[in-house]
Amino acid sequence: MPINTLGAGFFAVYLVLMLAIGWLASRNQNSSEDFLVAGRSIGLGVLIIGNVAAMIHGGAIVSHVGLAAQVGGVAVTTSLSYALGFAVILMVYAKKLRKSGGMTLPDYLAYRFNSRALRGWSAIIIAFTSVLYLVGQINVMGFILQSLIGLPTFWGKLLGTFIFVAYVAMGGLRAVMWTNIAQFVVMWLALICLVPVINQAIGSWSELLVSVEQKAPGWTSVQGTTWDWRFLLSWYILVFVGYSTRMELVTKLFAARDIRVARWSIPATAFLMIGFLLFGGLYLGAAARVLVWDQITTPDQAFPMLVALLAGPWISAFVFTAVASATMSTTDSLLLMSGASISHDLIRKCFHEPFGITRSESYYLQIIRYTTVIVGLLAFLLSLMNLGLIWQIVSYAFAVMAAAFFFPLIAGMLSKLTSAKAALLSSIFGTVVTVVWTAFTITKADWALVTHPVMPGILTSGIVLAAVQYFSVRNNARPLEKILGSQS
Amino acid sequence: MILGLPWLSFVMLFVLPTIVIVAMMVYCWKTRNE
Repeated sequence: MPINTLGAGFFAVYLVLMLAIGWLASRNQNSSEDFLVAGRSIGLGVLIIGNVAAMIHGGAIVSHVGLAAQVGGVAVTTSLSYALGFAVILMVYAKKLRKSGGMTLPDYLAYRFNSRALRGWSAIIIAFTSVLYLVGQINVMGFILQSLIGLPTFWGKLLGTFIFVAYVAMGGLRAVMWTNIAQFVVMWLALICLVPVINQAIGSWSELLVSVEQKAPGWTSVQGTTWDWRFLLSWYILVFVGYSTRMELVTKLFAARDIRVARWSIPATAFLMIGFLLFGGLYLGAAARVLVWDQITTPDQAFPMLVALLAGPWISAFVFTAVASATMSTTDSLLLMSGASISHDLIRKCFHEPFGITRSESYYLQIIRYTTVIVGLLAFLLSLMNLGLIWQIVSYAFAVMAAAFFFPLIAGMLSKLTSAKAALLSSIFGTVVTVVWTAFTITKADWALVTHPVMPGILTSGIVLAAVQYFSVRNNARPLEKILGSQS
Repeated sequence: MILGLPWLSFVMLFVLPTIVIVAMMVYCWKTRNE
């Protein structure tokens, strides 16, 4: 049976399943809290699966394998940075975020710094970067559905967008969590299906790594085949900073049933994430380098080509469905975050409530749903533009988010003395420098290519925060004791 | 070579992240009553 027929079958089942879950989750939703944080009822197992599913996106499979095949599995898979990033979330954020009683990160920042400006700014950054991420993910979806069902890219992107927008708009975070469980199972089953076929083609794990090192000397070294130490260091820092401000994870902590669940979910998520990245970067990356590297023109083709070469039509169709599913499990979280930033933080908290406009909970629930649909549509339209390599887009969105929030969040959580003005200016300057640097990087300016845009952005953010804090009056926020406790 | 990797790569990929994850679990356990 041809792969496109099988793919259409698998995908149709998947589509019906996602829409059914979205409909089931939409029942008994009466307030923003039900929609955005699932009534704060999420237990440990579901939270871990939700975290992992949200972070492993289509780009993480397609581009991670491609990039690993290109420059080296060890260089690309910075497990230490991931682990340290998660450690920051655990030790600095988890308890305080969950305890604050907010529903979004701007909620927390507004509460911590008693600043509407900071809420508005952070909501705009989250909405903007989430849409950027979404565009990258919708591109992957178009690419995968083309391979899976033979759909033209436009229709693949449209179909993919329709599915995740539909279930998120219906069921909110509850739908995201429930669909993530199905997506998580499909994704791991599919990737495990590849192990025996790769093993048969090349041999065991060790034999594979020996083969790849012979074919591309330096592939298994820490530095990889082409990166210098300076670039490697900036890559480690990018991943560390990016993961310690990873919004899909941070936002889900608000939905944890209690503080213990929020905390324990972090090391478990880190363990599963690193396991996945090692499998994708080292195992699949090495197999792609050995078997298909000479037959492709761009790194993003490595994974689909590897699957097409090794697996029969059934496994291929299942694997591509799984990649589309992994893409959706990230887009849904991003869509929800973006929709929440606009409807909850900007419309309700920055506009309606300060100006005395009173509306019912059901009104805001409707607004969140409409916003979700509009954001999804906008991301789809943007995805039709040619924005270059998928991984680039995702990594720049990473950089903007990291530069905007890393220092303000950490300093705000660790010290009562951090002022709203210092946090806001630090975030603005960090963002502006990152965006400008990114623009020059994309246009290939020689001086900008020296480092990743996150480095100057983070540095600027840290310097501005320290300088403003030093020179400004220490204006503590009102509810600090509740969040920080008396010790800090 | 350990598992087909140079020792430094093995340490960076497996040993150090494991230490960090174990440290996180110890932290969770020690702060379980907070």
